[in-house]
Amino acid sequence: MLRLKNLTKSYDDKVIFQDFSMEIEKNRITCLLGKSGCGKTTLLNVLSSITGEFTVARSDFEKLKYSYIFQEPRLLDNYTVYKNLQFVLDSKHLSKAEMDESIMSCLKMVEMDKYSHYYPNQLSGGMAQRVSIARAFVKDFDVLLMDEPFKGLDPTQKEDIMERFLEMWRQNRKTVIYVTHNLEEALCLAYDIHVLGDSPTRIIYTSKNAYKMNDSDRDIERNRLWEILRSQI
Amino acid sequence: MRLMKKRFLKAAAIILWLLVWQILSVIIGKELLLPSPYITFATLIRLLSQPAFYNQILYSLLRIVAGFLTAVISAFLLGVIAGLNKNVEILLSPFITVIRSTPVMSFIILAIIWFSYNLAPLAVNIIMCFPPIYDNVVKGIRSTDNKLLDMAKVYRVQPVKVFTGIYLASVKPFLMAGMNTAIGLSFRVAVAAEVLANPRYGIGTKLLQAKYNLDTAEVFAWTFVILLLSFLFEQLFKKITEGGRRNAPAEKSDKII
Repeated sequence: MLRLKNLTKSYDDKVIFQDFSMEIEKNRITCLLGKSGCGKTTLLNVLSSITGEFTVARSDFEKLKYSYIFQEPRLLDNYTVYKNLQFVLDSKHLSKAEMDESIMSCLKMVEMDKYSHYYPNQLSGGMAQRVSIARAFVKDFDVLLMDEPFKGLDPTQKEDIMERFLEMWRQNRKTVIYVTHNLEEALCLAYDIHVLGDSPTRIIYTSKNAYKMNDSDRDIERNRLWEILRSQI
Repeated sequence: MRLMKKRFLKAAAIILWLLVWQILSVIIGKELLLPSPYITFATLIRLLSQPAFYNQILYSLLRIVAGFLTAVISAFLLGVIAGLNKNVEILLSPFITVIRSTPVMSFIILAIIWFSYNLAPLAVNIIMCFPPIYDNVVKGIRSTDNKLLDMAKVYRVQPVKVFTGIYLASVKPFLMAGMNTAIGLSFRVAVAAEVLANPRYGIGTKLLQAKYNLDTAEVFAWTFVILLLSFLFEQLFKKITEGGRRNAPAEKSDKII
């Protein structure tokens, strides 16, 4: 279990987190569900140290290695797909052959190996996001953070990319913290779901072991989560 | 066809202005004030036959190229540091403001006092080419995509790779724009400095000598040489940057849907 206790953070006099605490089961996909602007992305940025200036009583998240799939692919336009993956690898500790093998196997998993020599601006949005998933898995990590990575994709692309993501995740089963405001995505991917409320950000409901539920229990849980989300608007 | 038309129009414009020049020189009728194009080109051909002509050009070019390259390297390095660190930018800002607002002639006179006649044009060239390149490099660093920097931070990418992969890509178009401005400036400043510093060899020295000899045709001929060299350098620079662009990512039109 990874624990975060009493996180406090303000931004421009606005309190975002006030003694916020959270527990994340290791080696599972945990979803943080909540409406836009409730502090989900800020929480991921705090965990990965993108955002600084916060206080915390205890954090098991410090000194962990992270991978991050952002809302947008964040690829380097001047580098090919292959070089984008190579960019995040530590060239000092890997031989050329090892690097080549891990890059190509990750690209193969997302069916982008044929496009390794392409530049990002030659790819569609879905293809670029697949490359960013491959980049997240090419480097060893303890926790994978995902910030609405399927937002803006059409339903067919989304389904395809989600499947490929799950396929890759099943190979190492590392801890994943997945942020979304889409209930169906959360139910499709997550083991545990934390629903977040805002002002300041807090967990208002936790759905445990959503993945184990049978269809009828899942429907009940879906309705319950939907009601909670609706009450937040 | 369109290219042919464009070339034809350009050639026609040059011929038209040569004609205007010829007519004006006939109207004025004094070679000392305005020599005709024919006399100017005859003087140029006479200069071309003299071995010393190439020596003058070589020395001027050495000052121009060395000054330009020194300015590029120093402005790039300081621009990167200032772009990354606001305090360094504040520290350098009085120096940059002084360079930008001081008349070139003041720098040339000071450089003649401080350095040798040969080095003064080089020093002034460096100082005058520095600000446009420096300003652009700082802008380039500041316009770096923070989202990419955040990505690199999360993945713990080595600083050297962050610099070459993210910062350099952001700075490149700004650096090119700065260099483009500086390259034209370099020719004008170096020759002006040579006129005042009067080194043993240099186009500026020859310009001044022609003026003393009341040989206006030679002044025109040397001016033509400066324009031609400046044009050739700008074309060479364009070719180099276009070569760099050819290796860059393809345009959106090649996108796979």
